[in-house]
Amino acid sequence: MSEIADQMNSEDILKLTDLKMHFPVQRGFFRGAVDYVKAVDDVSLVMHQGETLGLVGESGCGKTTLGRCIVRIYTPTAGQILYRTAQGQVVDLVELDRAGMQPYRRELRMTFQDPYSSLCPRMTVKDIVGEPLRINHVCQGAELEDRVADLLQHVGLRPEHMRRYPHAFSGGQRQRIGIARALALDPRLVVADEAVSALDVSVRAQILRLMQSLQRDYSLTYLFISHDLSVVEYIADRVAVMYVGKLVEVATTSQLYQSPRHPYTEALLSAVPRPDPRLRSQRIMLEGDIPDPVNPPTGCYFHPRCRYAQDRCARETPPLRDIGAEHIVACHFAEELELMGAVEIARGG
Amino acid sequence: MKDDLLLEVKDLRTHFPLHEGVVRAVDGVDLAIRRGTTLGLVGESGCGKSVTARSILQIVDKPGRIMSGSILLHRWGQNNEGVSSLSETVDLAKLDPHGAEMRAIRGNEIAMIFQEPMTSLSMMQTIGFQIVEGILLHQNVSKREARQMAIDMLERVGIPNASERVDAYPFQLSGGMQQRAMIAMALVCRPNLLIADEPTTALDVTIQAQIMELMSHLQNEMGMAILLITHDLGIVAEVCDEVAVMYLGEVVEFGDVDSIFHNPLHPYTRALLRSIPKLGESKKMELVPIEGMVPDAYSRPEGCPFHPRCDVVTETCPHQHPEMIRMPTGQLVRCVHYNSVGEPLA
Repeated sequence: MSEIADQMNSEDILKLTDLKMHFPVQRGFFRGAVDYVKAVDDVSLVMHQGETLGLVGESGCGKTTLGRCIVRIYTPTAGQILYRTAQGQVVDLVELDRAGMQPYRRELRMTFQDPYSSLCPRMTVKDIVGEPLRINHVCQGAELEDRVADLLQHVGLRPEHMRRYPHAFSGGQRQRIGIARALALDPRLVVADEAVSALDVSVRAQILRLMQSLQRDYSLTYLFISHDLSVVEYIADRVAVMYVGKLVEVATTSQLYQSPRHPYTEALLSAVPRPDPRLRSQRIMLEGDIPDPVNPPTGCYFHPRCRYAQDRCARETPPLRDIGAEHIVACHFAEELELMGAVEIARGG
Repeated sequence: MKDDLLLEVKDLRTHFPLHEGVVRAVDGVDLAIRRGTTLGLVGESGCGKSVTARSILQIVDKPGRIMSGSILLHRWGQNNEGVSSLSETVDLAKLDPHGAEMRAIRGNEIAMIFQEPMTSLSMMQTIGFQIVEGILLHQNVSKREARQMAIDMLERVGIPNASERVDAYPFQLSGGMQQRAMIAMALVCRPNLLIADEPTTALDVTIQAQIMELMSHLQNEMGMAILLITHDLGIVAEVCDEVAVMYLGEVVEFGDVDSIFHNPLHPYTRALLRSIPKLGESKKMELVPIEGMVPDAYSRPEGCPFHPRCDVVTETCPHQHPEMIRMPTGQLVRCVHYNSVGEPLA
C-alpha cells in the first residue's frame, strides 16, 4: 500500500498512469481477425483535489471512454488509476473487482450527456434520485424522502415534484435531476459528461452556475468533459486536450487558451465561432476528418491534418512532455512553433 | 433595399390543433430576405424557428397548418441589358402543398438542408441516386447528364474522389461528408434560397467550420440567399448579414448583424448575449442566466410572451402585446420600452 501512496502527491485526488482502454473489433469473413479500437491509449493525467479539469476533443477522440474508465464503468485494458480516498489511502481502481470497487462507487459519480435517455421513464424522480441511497443502505422510508427533497432543493427543483416522472420535466430540469442523483451519496469526484451540450443557451448558463455553486458547497472535484471550448474556458481550472485516444496537451486554462503549444489546440480554438460579428476571423481550417482509431496514422496522429507537420512527425510519435509550469504537450516542435491563442485569433493574428 | 427582396414573410401563423389545445408554434412572424444575403433565425428550442422554415416550403408536419399570413416569393428576371428586375411574385402560403406549382418550387427555387444528415438522407439509396432524382424531377436532362451534374456538384462541395463516391451509401461517409452530400443535393438545381436548419449542430467544431466556410464560398459563387436557422450565436455572428431573434412563435427583434450584437434592443436578445461564454474572455465575464424557462406550448403568457422572464418587466407587459417598432437605425423591436417613433423610453 505504501509504495503506491508514494507515487501520488498529497494534493492530488486521482492519478492516471499509462491508462489504456482497447475495444476488440471482429473483422473478416469468419469474424476471426481481431483488431483493436484504441479508444484510450497511454493516458497519464493527474487531478488535483477540488479543481475542475476540462477534457476537450472532437467526437470519437475517447473523452467519454476515459471518463467511464475513471468511474470504472469500463475495466481498463492496462494502466493504473490511483485514487486517494476520503480517509487518505491510495488505491489502484484498475486492480479492484466488482466487490472491491463497491466502497468507492459512492465517491466517484458520473452525470450523463443526454438528459432524455439517461433517466428511466418508468421511475419517478424520487425513485431515480433515491435509488443510490437505497442500494447503499444509507436511508429508507420517510428519511429517504427527506433526503431526496433536500437534494432536489439543492439543485433548484421543487421537492413537491418528486412523485412526477421524467417526461414532465424540461431538458434543463432533467439535467438537474441527473445532477441530484450524482450528488445523493456525497461524492468527492464527479465526471460530468457533456453536462450542458443538449441544453439551450439560457438554460446552459443556469446549469453551469449551479455546478459551480455545488462544487463550493460539497467541495467536489469535477472532470468536465465537453466539446465546447468556450464553456470549458468558463468552468475549468485546467484543461486536457485529447486527439484519437491520446492526450496532446494539458495546461491551466489561461495558459492553454492564451498560449497553446500544440497545433491541434490552436486549430480547435480557431474553429470556435465567435459571438461578435466584428471578429470575423481568418480561421485555421483543419482539413479532413478525424482518423479511424483502428488504423491511426503513423508517428504523430495529428500530422496528416497539421499545417506545421514535417517529415519527422510522420515517423516518430511525440512523447507527452513537461515544458514547464505544469504545461504538458505532445509535439516535437512545441518550443519552436509560434501558435495563436484565443485572443490573437480573434484579432486576426 | 426594397428592390432586391427575394422572400417576404408577412404575419405568418402556423398552428397545431392537438387534443390538449392549440399550439401556436408560429404566431405572427414577419421576415424579409434579400437576394444573395444570409438571414439568421435564432432562438431557443421550441420558439418556432423550424416551423417557420417548414411553412415556407409547405412541409409542416401534420396536424400543423398555415392559418393566415403570406409568404411572398419574388422572382427576378433579367432584361436585354442584363439589368435584373422584378418579374413576378407568388404567394407560397396560397399554394396547395401537394400541387404541381409548389412541387416545382420545392427543391428547385427553394432548397433545404436538415439538421441531422444521418437521418435525413435515405440509407437505402446511394447519394448519387438521391441527387440525380432531384435533378431529373426539375430539369430536362438525360440520366447520364444528371449523373455528371451530380458528380460535378459533389466535387464542388469538396468530396474527394467524387466520381467514385457518387455510388457510396450514406453510411459509408462520415458525418461531415454526409452533410456535404446534403448540400450538394440542395444546391444542384441552383436554388435562389437555401434554407439551412441547424446545418452543423450535429458536427464537431472543426467540421462545423469547414461546412460553414463551404456554404459561404458556394453562396458567393452561386449568389443564392440563405436562411440560416440556428441556436448558436457564434455561427450567426460569423456568417449572417441580418438576424431575426424569435421567442415563442414571434420575431422579437430584427436587424443587421452588427446592431444585434453591439446594440441589442430587446431584453431577450440582451439576455441571450449575456448568457453565452465568449472565448478568450470567459474567465473575466460573469454568465447571467435567463431566469425560468421557456413556458410550455399550451400556456403561452398573456401580453408580451417574454414578460415572466424579463428583467425589465413593467406593469403593462402582462396585459399589452407590444407592436413591432421600427427604430431610426432600421432595427425592428417588439417591446414596450420603445415608443412608436422608435425612441427608448426611460
